[in-house]
Amino acid sequence: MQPFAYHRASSLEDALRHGAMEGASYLAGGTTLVDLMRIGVMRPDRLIDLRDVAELRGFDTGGETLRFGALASMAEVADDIVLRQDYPALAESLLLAASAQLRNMATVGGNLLQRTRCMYFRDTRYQACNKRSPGSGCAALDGVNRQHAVLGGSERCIATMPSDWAVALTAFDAAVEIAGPQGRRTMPIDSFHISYGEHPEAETALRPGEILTAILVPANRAGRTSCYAKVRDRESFAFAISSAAVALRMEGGRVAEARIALGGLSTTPWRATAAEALLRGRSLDESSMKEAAARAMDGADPRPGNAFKVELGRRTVEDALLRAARRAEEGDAA
Amino acid sequence: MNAIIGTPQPRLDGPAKVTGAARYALDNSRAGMLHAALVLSPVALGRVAAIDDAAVSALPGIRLVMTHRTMPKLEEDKPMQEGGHAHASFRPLESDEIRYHGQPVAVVLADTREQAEYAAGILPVRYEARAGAVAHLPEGAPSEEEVGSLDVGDADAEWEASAVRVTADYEEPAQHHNPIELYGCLAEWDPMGGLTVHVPSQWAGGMRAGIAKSFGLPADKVRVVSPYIGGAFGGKATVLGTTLLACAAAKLAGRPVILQVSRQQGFPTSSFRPAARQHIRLGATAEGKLRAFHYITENQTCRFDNVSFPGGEILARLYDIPGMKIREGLVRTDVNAPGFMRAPAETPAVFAFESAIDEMAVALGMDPVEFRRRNEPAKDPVKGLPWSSRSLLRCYERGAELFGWSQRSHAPRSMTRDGDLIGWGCATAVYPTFISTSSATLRLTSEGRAEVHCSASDIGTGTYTILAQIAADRLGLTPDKVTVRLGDSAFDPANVAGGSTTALASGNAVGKVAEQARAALFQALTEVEEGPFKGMAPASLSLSEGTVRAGNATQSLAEAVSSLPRGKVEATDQWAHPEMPAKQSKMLWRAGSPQGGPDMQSFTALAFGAQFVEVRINPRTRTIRVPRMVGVYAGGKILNPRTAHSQLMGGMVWGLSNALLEASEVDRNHASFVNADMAEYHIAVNADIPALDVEMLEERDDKIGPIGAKGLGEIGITGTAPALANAIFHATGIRVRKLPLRIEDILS
Ligand SMILES: Cc1cc2nc3c(=O)[nH]c(=O)nc-3n(C[C@H](O)[C@H](O)[C@H](O)COP(=O)(O)OP(=O)(O)OC[C@H]3O[C@@H](n4cnc5c(N)ncnc54)[C@H](O)[C@@H]3O)c2cc1C
Ligand code: SF4
Repeated sequence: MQPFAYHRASSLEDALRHGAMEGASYLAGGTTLVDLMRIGVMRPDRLIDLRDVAELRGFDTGGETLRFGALASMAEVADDIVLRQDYPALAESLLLAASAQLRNMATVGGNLLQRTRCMYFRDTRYQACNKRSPGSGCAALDGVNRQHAVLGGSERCIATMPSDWAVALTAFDAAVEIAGPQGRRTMPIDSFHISYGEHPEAETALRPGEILTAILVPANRAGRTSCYAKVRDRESFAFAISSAAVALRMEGGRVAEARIALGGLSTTPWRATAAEALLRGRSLDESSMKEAAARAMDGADPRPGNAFKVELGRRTVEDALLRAARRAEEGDAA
Repeated sequence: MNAIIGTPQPRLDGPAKVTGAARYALDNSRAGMLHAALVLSPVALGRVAAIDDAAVSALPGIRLVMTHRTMPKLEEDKPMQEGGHAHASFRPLESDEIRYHGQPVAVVLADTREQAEYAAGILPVRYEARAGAVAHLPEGAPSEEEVGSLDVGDADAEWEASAVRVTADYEEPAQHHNPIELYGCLAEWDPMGGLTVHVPSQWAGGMRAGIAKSFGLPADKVRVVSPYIGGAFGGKATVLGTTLLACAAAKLAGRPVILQVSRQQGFPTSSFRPAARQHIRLGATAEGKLRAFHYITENQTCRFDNVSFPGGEILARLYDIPGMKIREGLVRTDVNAPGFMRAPAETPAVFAFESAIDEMAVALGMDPVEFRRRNEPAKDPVKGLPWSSRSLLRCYERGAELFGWSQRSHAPRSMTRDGDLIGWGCATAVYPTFISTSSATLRLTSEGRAEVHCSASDIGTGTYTILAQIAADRLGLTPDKVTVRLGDSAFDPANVAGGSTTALASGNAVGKVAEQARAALFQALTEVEEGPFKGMAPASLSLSEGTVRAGNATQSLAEAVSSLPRGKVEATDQWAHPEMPAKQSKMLWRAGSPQGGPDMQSFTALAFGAQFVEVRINPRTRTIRVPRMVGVYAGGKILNPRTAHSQLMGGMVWGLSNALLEASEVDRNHASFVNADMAEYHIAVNADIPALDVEMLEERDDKIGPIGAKGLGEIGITGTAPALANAIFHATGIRVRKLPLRIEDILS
């Protein structure tokens, strides 16, 4: 590991001041950052530890807007009773992620900023990785790419965005709040993770020195009948091969509102708006589900190693729709 | 006193392990020791053109950069399968040549591990790469060498005459070891030129011989110490190149060196289960009697050694088949040498064969349990010898009962629960009873205790405990009055803790020396002037509950031993099966690994089991989950049901992992194993493991040796993968012939 300086920030201002220095990185739970430093993939010169910055902690699921401080731990947010009842997809996306130990350390802000699990990115013995060293090529394009994206990739990079939480947040039109040397700004989560295009090394709209301060979710009644379906080989402690966050609002047996976001299949959290539109006003049956699922995977561009994910993505959407529909029925019955 | 053998006894090493008192190899440290870090090649073929260590050497704490230019020349050694003790004949840093991805090209020594790793990470190395490296088992690759061949009857004629035929090809991926304990060692030279190596070892005596040979030393100049091992499973049986590098670096630096190989670096630098492919033909009569079995295999190996694991000879022992033709071949690839991994020959072979057996049962429209019943062999189909004992059908009967097999509706896709597809499958588990030899020393002390010394390893299997049980049983003591010391090459020679041989061989050796020590004690007591037993016939003495008795005379064991002139009684001897040729058993004293079986002169011995599993498959996403597994085994005398149960259960847990998760993914452009860490190389986690029922049947076996125990360390893994593949077929109607069994295989 490359030697580095360490500073424990006392306030947001203190953090921003230190974060503006050359080679600085913010440290939250460290479960991504320290890991990547240990294997030489990230090499910051200084770490600015955010854990003492009080205003970044805590969360509130009570009001018209749910607010999650960036430094709240995945575990505490996942345990929130309101979230579990009113937004099961959000709680499940956290609970189905990583392991209990990691969720205790990891923060909900850090989670949105975690790096891809592409094995070539994580192993410096492979030279070709545009994300790690821009312009070097991409070893995954014709390498081992079972876990890679079939949606949103480019000829430069097909790495998946691995966060489950980001997928669920995307389904709910969440926004992120950012503090920087020039002040604060808020942006929709849709535009926070950016498409790779020519520059896969840039993953988010966060500019150097900026701090993600909070995640905001507009309250939504469809949240109650939401679910997060995560497909993986292993029952626990594994990233998604494919996943879908779905929320439904049913009226008179028809879909009044559908929200669908995909994970494990794409380079950014993937909102399937066309599929949502297709379902609106229809009853949820085998044929409407299948049409919507197929629409959600429109434009997929698979490789030999992940071709199955086009079909699996559709099935995952169907599975999530069914589960959400079941929740809707149970809710009606109750 | 209650029986000690055959009763569930807690592990004697358990408290030390859970409290942290147990000292593993890398828990050791020495004043002034240096930390080593490895630099591994990112190219698979080529040469090291230049290493510029000037900048790195100037960094704080850096003491040495060892490359092929400075590496001391090592003597030759052979892999264990070819009679040596090395993982590979290829010597680390022997030249500038690179023969596989991840081959060490330099070792950095520093005052701290962080300094060493940092320097190793930035050391500038220039490579000249050569194209054409291959690390996967190429499709349709012809075998380059035959490593196993067996003919029984006329397999071709039987095939031609078969009414029902099955032809199928199977494939298993390479897999790497991922026990909790990482590889590594502490190497320490003394001023007299002796070398002590603390290294996790399944074979202290063998490793001593291999290290001594590599450094041109007499064996008694080297000591290998390994009292505790944090998981071995075959990966810690031989001298790894990294161990030799640490020893060489310590020699050059003149200071003790500790090397901890990281998880990532452990993949290319250690042994692994090689990829394999099997082409099977089975022929049977319409009534379900097997007639023909053709078995052609390709087994991955490296360029420099012939390490391979042909399993056909074991398969030929499963059923009564009059015509068998087995041809097993090697395919050379540009990888580090493969090596042992739990049931190395059996695991892939049994997956293929027991899948094919199920395919045949399906083709016949027959219950797979009934099909096996119709093909039970009365004697060893290969050698015509009687079985030492065989209880396969009893295992199936009991397993079927425990599992509720009679409720199975046999048609594929015919069972569902809560919308999920349900499949039930079964398969035979088998492991040959390899009969080895071992020596041991037992000392009775003036504290009334027994001390057992043996260089055998307890790789977590319970050897400490069962050896204490055996000594205690023979000496009328409780196991806590027995101290067992293992895993030190200074102790009496034993076989490698491999092939599931330790319980039988070292168990018999300890039983033998315990009886000798007791006899010597009785003899000596009858000669103690003024002692209570003076002048009595030694045969009239007995020893129980820590007390020596004869008629009305009693004396505690402590007093009895104290009364002897030397204050102790000691016996050392070797046990070997009477059917093992003397020439072979003597190899034990030259650090050999003498091993007979499964066929001996007058019998053939294998352990058998039957496994039943249920799979639950999501009808849309096809996620595969396993709600329950049942395994019933017969392994001769069960010395300690508690430790045996753990072995069998652990075997099935790994069996599930092997079947559904584990694969070392090959990048064909780099000829590398690319998922080299635990986040991407998936092994089963708790949540994957279902209700798991293990039962052991009574089985008496008088032929394999006095304690009558068949090895149970490996059998558990062997039946799980085919049982799961068979269950997946039952659930979905899709036959998957390639491991791991994955979602994409059953999506459409
Ligand atoms: C073995 C393993 C399995 C995992 N499995 C899953 C999984 O299944 N699903 C899933 O979603 N995730 C999974 N994760 C990822 C895990 O959830 C993330 O590592 C974690 O959420 C990151 O949060 P952190 O607080 O530890 O971030 P850190 O590691 O501290 O930081 C991550 C990055 O974000 C930056 N950063 C952090 N906070 C801020 C901030 N407030 N402002 C600006 N920059 C910031 C850091 O500089 C760094 O670059 C897994 C991780 C591991 C190690
Ligand atoms: S997919 Fe992206 S992260 Fe992976 S090797 Fe290619 S460029 Fe690097």
